[in-house]
Amino acid sequence: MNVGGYLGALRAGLRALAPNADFVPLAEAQATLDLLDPAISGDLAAPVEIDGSGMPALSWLLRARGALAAAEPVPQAELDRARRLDPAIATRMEARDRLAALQGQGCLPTSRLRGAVRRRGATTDFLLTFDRMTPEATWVRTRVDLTGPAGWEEAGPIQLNRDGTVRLHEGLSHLLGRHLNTPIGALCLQLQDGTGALVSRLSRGVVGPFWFPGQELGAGVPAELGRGLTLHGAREILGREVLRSAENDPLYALRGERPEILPPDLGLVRERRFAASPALAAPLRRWAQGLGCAITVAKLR
Amino acid sequence: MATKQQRAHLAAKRRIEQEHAAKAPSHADTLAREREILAHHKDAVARVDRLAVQQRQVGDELSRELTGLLAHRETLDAIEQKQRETGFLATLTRRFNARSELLARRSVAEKLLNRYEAVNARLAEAARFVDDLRLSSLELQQEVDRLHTELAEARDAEVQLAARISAIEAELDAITEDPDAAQRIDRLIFEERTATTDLALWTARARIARQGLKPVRGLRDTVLGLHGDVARYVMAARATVQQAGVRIQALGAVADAAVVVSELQSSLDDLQHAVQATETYLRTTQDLYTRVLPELSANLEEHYATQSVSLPHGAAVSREAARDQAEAALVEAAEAELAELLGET
Repeated sequence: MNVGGYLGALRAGLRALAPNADFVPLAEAQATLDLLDPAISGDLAAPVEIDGSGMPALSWLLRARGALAAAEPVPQAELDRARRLDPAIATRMEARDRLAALQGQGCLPTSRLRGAVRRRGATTDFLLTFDRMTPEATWVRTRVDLTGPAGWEEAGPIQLNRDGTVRLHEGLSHLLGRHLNTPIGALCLQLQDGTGALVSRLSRGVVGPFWFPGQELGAGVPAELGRGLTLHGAREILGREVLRSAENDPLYALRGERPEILPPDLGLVRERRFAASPALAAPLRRWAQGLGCAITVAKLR
Repeated sequence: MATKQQRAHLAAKRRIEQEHAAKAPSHADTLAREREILAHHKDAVARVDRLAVQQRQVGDELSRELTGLLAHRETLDAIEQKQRETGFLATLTRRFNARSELLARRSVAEKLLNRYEAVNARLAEAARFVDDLRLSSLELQQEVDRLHTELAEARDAEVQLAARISAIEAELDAITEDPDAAQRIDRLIFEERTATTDLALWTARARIARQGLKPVRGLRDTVLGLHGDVARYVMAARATVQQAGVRIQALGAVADAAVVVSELQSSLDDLQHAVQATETYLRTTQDLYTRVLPELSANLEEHYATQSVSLPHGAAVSREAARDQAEAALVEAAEAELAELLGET
């Protein structure tokens, strides 16, 4: 397999998707792909493993992250010594040196929960951002806007430190991790129960799957969509800001699930963007239209 | 007036003397080389010492992380035990508890995944360490090769000089009574003394190389042993951990599939073996700290203590002493050749 070509296509897909704050950060996603690139990490993350979703398998990513964590800058004298004694080891040392240089750049974490205070007054509002690599090898970000009465930030699972930083209870990360696949309406209720605050907005952005020739597309997906490259960016937004609910995710429509029961006063938008080879734009739109979905297709260049 | 034949003979002698002068190492060269070998040894012992400490750290850290990974097994066992209960109440409540147990499994998967990442980092460190060991063993092998080359060169020179001294002795015996050979005798005695000094220098050089070989070879073997042990251990641990990783991911994805849980449990069993193997491995390498390294250091110290007597002193030698030295050099060279044939060097 041409690993460089595969990673290059994923990079181009990410750029074309231009993910916003509801998705994992683009810079971190790009840095993660750099980490996997044999031109940078050599064979330290080998073997190359691609998940059924077409995304880099979690085991491949974890190996690369392990190599990154263990990397240290290699002094020139040590490199020269290795080149003299064993060129293969020298090549690995060069890869470790390149990885050490990448340590400053943020890469996608396997699991990370961050919190920030948004407002403090009559209510205290927090924003939680949970990034996670899923076992299906997709990259998920769950964002939660929580509003609680003044003073709840002093005793609940989300606490505000004097310096303005936020302290999060470990259980929150487990809660969000456990509910990665839970329908978003049910997740909203769980979060309200768990935090004692109101969820004003909840979003879940998923990067992946990545379809390419030879890749299994799943039941109900026309085979012609596998004749090029397609990276998915799916998003669900549940919130007060959503005045008109809309279902524009063809893969969700294909599953034929019953409509979700939503918490009162909250609307739900489900959408899927595609970054695809130019020749696939029209077939993708036709397919989505057939399922009653309006989609956006960004052309891969 | 010297005849044509005598002039040619003298010219040949001068050439031989010049060759000897160019080839024989000086006192300063020999001392410098001895110091260089000792410095290399000291560096190598320090390096092996560092590697041994690192090896212990790598083993300890891997063991700790693997044990951490295993710590979640009890939680998983408790969940699965509940699933297997067959009593009336258990059957009745299973339907209601199914979701909470599924979430509990996912919580375990979350913790396992974090641990798994830490284990991967430790394995990457261990792989780097394996490379360090390999480089050190290659470097020590280069030193062994160099010492062998020096030893062979010194032995050749010793044999040539010993042969020359024997030839001079034979000639001196033949002309010693000849009253017209006074100049020739003087020249031969001069040549014999020069050759004897050179022989002593080469003998010292050979001794330095021979003495240097043992500790370097010992270090090389120690590092080779470490390299082999760590490489095998890391390879086995990597395969086990990788297998467990695949199952941990599956646990997060389809936690309600009983088969995944039972596979993961067998992976955790394998990890248990990996932890036990680490402990055994660390115990067996204890010998390195308690015996091998102190022994190597002691050898080196001894070598330091004897270095001042390894060089010849500059006093004039008698013909008898020169003959003995030449004979000893020839005997030593023959013994060394035999030892080499028998694979004892």
